Amino acid sequence: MATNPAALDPRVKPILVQGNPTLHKVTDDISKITEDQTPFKWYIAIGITSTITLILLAMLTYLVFTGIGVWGNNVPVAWAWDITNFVFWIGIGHAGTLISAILFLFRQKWRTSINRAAEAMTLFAVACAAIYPLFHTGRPWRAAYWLLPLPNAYLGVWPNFRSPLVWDVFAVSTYATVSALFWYVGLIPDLATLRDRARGLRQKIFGIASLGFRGTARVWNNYEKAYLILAAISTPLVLSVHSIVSFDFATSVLPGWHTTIFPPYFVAGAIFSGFAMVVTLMVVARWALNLEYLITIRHLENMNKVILATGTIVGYAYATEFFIAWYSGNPYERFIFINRAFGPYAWAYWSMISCNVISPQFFWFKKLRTSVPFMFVLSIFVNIGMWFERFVIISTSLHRDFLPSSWGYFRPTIVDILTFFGTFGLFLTLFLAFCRFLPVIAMAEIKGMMANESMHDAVHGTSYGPAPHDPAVPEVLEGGRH
Amino acid sequence: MVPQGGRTSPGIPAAGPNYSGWSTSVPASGSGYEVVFVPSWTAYDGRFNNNAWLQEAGDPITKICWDNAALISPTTAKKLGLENGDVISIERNGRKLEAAALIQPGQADDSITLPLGYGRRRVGRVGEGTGFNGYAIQTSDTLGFGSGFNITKTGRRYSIVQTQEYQSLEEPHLVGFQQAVTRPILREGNLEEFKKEPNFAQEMVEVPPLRSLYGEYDYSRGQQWAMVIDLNSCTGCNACTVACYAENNIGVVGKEQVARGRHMHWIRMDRYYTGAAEDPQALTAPVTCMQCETAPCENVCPVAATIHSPEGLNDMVYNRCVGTRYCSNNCPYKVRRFNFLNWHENEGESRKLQFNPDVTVRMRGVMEKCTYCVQRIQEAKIDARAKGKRWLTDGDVIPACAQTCPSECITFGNVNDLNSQVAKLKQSPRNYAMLAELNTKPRTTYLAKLRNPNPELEVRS
Repeated sequence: MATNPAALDPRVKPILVQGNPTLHKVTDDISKITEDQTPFKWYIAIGITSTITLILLAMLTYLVFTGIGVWGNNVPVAWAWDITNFVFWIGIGHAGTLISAILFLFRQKWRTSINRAAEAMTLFAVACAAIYPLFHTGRPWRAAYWLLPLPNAYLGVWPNFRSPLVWDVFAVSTYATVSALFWYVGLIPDLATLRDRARGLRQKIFGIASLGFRGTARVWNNYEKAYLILAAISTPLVLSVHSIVSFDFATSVLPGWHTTIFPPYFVAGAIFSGFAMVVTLMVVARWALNLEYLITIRHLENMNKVILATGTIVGYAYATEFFIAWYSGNPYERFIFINRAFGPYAWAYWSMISCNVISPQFFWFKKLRTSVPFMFVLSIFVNIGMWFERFVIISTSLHRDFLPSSWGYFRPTIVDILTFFGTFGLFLTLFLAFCRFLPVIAMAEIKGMMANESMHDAVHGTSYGPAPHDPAVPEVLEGGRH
Repeated sequence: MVPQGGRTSPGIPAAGPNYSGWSTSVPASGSGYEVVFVPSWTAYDGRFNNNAWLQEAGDPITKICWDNAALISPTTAKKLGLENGDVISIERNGRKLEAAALIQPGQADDSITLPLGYGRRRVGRVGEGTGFNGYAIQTSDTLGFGSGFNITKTGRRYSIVQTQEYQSLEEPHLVGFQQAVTRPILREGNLEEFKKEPNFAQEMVEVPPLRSLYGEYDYSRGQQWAMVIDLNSCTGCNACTVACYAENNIGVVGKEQVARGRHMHWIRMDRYYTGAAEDPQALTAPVTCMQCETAPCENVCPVAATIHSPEGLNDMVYNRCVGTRYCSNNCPYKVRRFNFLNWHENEGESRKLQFNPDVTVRMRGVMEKCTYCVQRIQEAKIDARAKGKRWLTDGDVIPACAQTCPSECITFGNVNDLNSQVAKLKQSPRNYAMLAELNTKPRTTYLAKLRNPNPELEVRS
């Protein structure tokens, strides 16, 4: 994919929309994805992913009717793939809120092209994650409401507020609620656009969904304030959710879990994996939906820089853990870390190190972080590595703890594997449905940014968007098929 | 907090007393190997082969469940190129037996021990398909043992299931045979040292003053239940484990599930070696729920299904348990057992009559563990009240394990009653708490083992 070097030069003002499209073209291109006849390839794709989702449903049904024993969990490894997958999916969900809330507050304009899809991805990842805390319990029909603060009539008792699992319930449900609200509020102007373009039943549906948004100055004023407030509410959640998830481990007595480094280390890892997942999905989506001029190489490169930064933090955290294990002088702690690297799970540990620590370092090279095929492969590696990170933390710490008489080993069963496989089906099915029925890019925001930039440019003399043409900025239709 | 790693159990020479002069002195007849036939620990001569409790409790030293195996020494295994689970063919005078091999530390070289009582062709549902029939190669001239057996490796594999140390010999660099010494879990010393330094067991780990994050309950009043396990008198016989199965309606899971690590021993027999693999010393100890005063399992349960009673018991409320298994993860002693499946699914009507009516039969998805036989405590309290007695005294409550222990190594009672045996034993200098450095404050403590080795035997190496 040929790219003009000027488009990637950090000294030049970033080109966030390529090819000087008109505002109308942007609206048209994004709305049409939801309005045109459904492409056949979409049916094929969702056919495959919903079949995989059915596998998930079948596995969960089997699990509920038979017991946790259909998985490979045992004593000492009482948590294994269940919690690994939970933390994996929750981590992936982090990029959405980071992009939409924190980057919004920092006025990072490059977020506008990707925030909608990233937020949707967050919601779908949280949906996948939420399956596990419920279904990994021995009696999900009880756990479904006994972990909630309802003084129930049956036993008349509250949940145990000292338990990190109860904190988890609050953290994850708050996160899911706020993310959904934030996403929906962001959608309202675009839903109104879709309403105005539609007729009949479609118009009614979008009419109700857009909550009477009319686009007057007053409505916009209120809307922008609400969005800013929600961004401010979401920002601490980016840090809190994964911190609290890490407390599931950090507050225990288990060597390898009982560590104060966990909250920042988990948050960095979550952003790392979340951005990798956004890159994976965006690379495919921009190609499939012909949106290369809106989701540019510049956007992808910025995300790759975040991957490089957080990946390096994660690598540093691994090193710190080892150093502290040695420095603490605690023989159990020392053993756990030596066992991680050289014990029966060494294969998992070194998979994690090569995917998470070594692979993102390739992004120091500009050529590699702007190469679409390379970043696609690398983002998948990062996600594999981050799955292994959670597996390594959970299984290697549990399988050999204090008393050697209880040591064991965990092997997944086919049900473990198919359940995890099935969650990808659910995730992709929801994402495909989103791409088909809702605007994948925040039209209102991107148009606002284009208009804002062109005014700005008129003052400062650089050209951008539909402003007077400046020959210094080349007109690049990078890979676009319009 | 820091176990003093450099310090080993006093009195045990690095290599342990050497009895190798005895064990290898059995003459190898020049050709072939020796086979020793012994009654198996679980099935005896085979008459108990259909007993699921014995099968599941397993052998206390080899830790094999639901099978027997041809036990070979590490050196012989190396010579024959054998690993745990390799099927070997044992032949003599045209009689042949194929059996799985297990490398057993301390086994004499070139000698194979074959426990009898397995491989029965006609047996009930439980014993079917378990183990290898040693009688097939036992003849009148090799009743107890015989030599001149040929051993060949068949190349096939058999799955032997052990409840402890699945991988020990595969990774000696990690597991080693010094675990009980470098991890001061079970503590031992010898008599001479003990006379000089009676508190050696308590001093093996330095425990700085520790405080709980949450407010601590005052346990100085009322009846406070506690247990002392004397490692001196434990013979590792497994009777406590089996008695507990009978008393507490514990589910039997079978070989496949034991292989997955789902056995339900509420009181398990831990076995550790010290010394070299060729000639180790073994230590056994029953390990059960320690009823920690500051129990790590209790904090983490989201639904408060495991909570403390005012009498110091860590109670498990089965009705409330939703099965997150976090308590098990956070238990440093790993004594909690989970009903991964419905273990009582295929039990007939007659089994129902066998259950102890005072104890709940747990459903799947629920965590369970030792209760100090709380049903017996409650019964004794009701009896005492009927008799107008305010406090229970020694002997009013005896848990099933203590009742069954032939060497009386388990003592149970009210630690607040200074005349009780358990309170007196807790004053012993040998008394120590396992993993006390974690501030769990366990109610079950151990009395360190003392050996009194004969110096003349030691010289013989």
